Amino acid sequence: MPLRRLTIPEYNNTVHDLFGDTTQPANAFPQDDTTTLVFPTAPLLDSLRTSRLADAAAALAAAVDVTKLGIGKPASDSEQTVLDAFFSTFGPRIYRRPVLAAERTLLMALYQRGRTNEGLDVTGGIRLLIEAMLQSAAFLYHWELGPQAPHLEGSQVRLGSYEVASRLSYFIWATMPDDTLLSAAAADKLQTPDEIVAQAKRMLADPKARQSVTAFFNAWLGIDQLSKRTKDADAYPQFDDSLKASMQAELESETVGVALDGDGSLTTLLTGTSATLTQPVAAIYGLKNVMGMAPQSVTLDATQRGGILTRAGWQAAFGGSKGSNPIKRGVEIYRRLLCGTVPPPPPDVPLPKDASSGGTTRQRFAEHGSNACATGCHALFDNFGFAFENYDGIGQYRTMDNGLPVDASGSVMLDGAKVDFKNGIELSKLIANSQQALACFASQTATFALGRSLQDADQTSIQGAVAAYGSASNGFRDLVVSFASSRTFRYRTPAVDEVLK
Amino acid sequence: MLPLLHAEMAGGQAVGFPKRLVTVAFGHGVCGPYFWPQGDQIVIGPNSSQTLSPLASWSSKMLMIGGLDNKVYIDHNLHYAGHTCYPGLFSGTLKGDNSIDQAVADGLKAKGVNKAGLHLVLGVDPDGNSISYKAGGQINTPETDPWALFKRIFSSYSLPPDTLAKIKAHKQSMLDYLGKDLEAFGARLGTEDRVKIQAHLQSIRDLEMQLQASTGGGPTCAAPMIGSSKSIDVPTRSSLMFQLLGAAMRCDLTRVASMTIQDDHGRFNYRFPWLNVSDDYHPLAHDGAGGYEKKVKIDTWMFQQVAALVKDLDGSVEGTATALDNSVIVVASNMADGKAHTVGGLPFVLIGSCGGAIKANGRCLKLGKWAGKKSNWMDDGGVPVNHLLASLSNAMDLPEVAGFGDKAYAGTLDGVLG
Repeated sequence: MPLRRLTIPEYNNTVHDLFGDTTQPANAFPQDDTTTLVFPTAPLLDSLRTSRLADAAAALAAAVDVTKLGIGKPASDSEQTVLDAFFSTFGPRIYRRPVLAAERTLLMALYQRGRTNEGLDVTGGIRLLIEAMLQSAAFLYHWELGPQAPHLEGSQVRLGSYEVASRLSYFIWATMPDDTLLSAAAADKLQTPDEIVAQAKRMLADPKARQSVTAFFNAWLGIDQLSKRTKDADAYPQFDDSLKASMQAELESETVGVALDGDGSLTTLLTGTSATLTQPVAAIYGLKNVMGMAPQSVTLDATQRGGILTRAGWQAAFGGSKGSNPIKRGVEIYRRLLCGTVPPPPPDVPLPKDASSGGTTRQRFAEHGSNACATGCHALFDNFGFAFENYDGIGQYRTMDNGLPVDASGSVMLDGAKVDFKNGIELSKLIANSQQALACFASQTATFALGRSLQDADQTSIQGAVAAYGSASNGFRDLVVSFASSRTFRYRTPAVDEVLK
Repeated sequence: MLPLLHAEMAGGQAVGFPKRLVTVAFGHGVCGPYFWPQGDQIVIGPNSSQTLSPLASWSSKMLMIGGLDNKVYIDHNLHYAGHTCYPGLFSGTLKGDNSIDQAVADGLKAKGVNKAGLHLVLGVDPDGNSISYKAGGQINTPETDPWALFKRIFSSYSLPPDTLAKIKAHKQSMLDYLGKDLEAFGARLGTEDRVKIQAHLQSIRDLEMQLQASTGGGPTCAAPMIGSSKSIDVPTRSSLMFQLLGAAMRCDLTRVASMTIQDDHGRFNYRFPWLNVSDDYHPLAHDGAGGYEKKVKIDTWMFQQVAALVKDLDGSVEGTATALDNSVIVVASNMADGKAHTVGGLPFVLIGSCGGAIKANGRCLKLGKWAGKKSNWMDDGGVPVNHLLASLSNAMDLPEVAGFGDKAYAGTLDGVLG
């Protein structure tokens, strides 16, 4: 379990829960790293990042209404009463665990300096403590053990209840634990799988689960790429911010709806035709009855659409700027949904020819693939992309491409066998029914939960989650609950040279 | 504006003025035929080095160097790693182990020079990338917010001394606390995690040094007016960042800086609407000669950004020379050409003589395999960029080095230092 730091959304959500902040101060931080995992991680700190943390902490502390922290009245109560209340009630919320005696001593030294040298009153002193604690390691890092000896069980470390509480809450909610979780941790009631299952189920039913589940699907499926996309203005003049937002809203309501409100199954996610739309994306589907920006429930034409991959937004996110770009789509399906490894592209390969040279997109890209490396790499993923040739660069349905009929048929390898499909709707079904996709779905969930790349030792817990997905009726939710109560989630391997005693 | 320091003259160069180093880079390479001169002199005109047209007035203060390779990448079989080779470009190492700006900043600190803005790591639109790295390979995140930069460099000058003293005391006690907190927190962690806490601690120490060096007492020279609109496009941000950098250098608040103008790691969908280029940059750069017309526009825009800084510095008199003469601005790209991504034969332009240390006098040095060639811009040159970096370090009057970066590529460049 490598040491992780709060990501930008985690920071924003956490200070929202602590202070009711709505300014999202972490949006001013330099961006998180998205190259290590498909999910964002917080990079090493340097002076710029650290100074931004200091700015955010100072602004948050300055804005706090100290009378609303549940620590009494700093202006009239005795100083000792206020401080005791702060360290016993609010401090533990910031640190997501009790504040240790040595930490309090260090903080009190700062407090006294502020009172003496800066002439702060008690309220000012509390603000100073908050400013400091928001920059301290206990707040910024996911290590709710603090500087204490871990609990060893054989060669493994069993996580304490506070650590489990935070792991659960940042996994399922993308924010700090609530009072119920912190109380359970205080009573050490997060040590058995049953206790964790009960909490995880409660948490999935809470509206806060939406922010984490949205983030998971957006990063996993690449929905978060859509807002950054720009298209050739001559080819797709309608591809503006309002269309992008409308597309993204459709995808998010689909993923989160299936995962949290629906049957939670990959099958529904990859084959479903019901959609919730606003006018801009509805126009792409040719649905003239959907007007305005109030989302409307519709059923899409099952001969043209089926599942998240066939939706306009997903096709636009990985389409080209002037056309479909089947290779990009194929690569993204192969690595994101099947957890395939894509070899780096070889140097100096000519790009596929422009449409002006004639032929369908598929014909031109197939020529590129055979030029580049016929069997080594493009064979792995090209057909996954060709299956979606019925969708242009912004996901509009088409049967003709560059004056010639579209061919979206082909075959791919799934679960070690060659399977044939006629188009992207059929391929989506095949993917949904494959063990490979299910195992990848579980692995992606586990990677998101742990914030690290997976190891062999995690496989038992992941297979348990796959089994739980298959045995009950809540799909994704069963998978999450199973993984959250698994051994991988509750234990960790000691780090090299970690002090264990 | 008054000169900051009293200067004496020696041998035509100002003595007593500080030397300054700026590294600048952008992604996707250049279009060779529109960049490199045919001969050994820089000629900027309608049929020669058009990309450099914004710098035409300063060609006599420039030095182009052809034939330099990011050799450590090539030797690690990364000949075509143009999009991901920033770690090596100014460090001469595979993993970005101490770039020249960081090394010079550390060298100046070791000589006792300390300023709040001594070392600026800046960017316009770097998309999380940087050309600046600490020893050990940690990336220095570029500052891209002009207002945050302004606050760091200039705002303390407008504060009354007692207000500034209060702010400094507050920040200092906070940094003291954070240092102790991190040390206690990191004490039990394993080796890899301790590296993260060490980086955090180092950043606290860096901020402490910046804090100690910040002084009030009124402006010694004019800070630029940068307005307050926070919603800005790339060209506006670029203009503000280069203005602030120029002012920080003129005011001697900064001695070394890196500027990552633009880099997208070769991702799709990067565009230049303000140049009326609506194409995707990556495929456009890959298009080779077919994309030159538009790509030259983009490359020229990059040098236009640099030219604004050059003009600013050259307009600031320091004795009988200018701030430009006492500086050297080193501009490069991560690849030779966007078509092949090759990290050999990289474009390098130096502007300013670094206080007379560098013979920047309108020449185009063609090194290694490029020597004597008229147009050979697509191939390797055979000379490691490390040699230039070592010469730059020596030009900055740091303890003389015989090499820079990876030890396999020791050596300095002949014909660069005056």
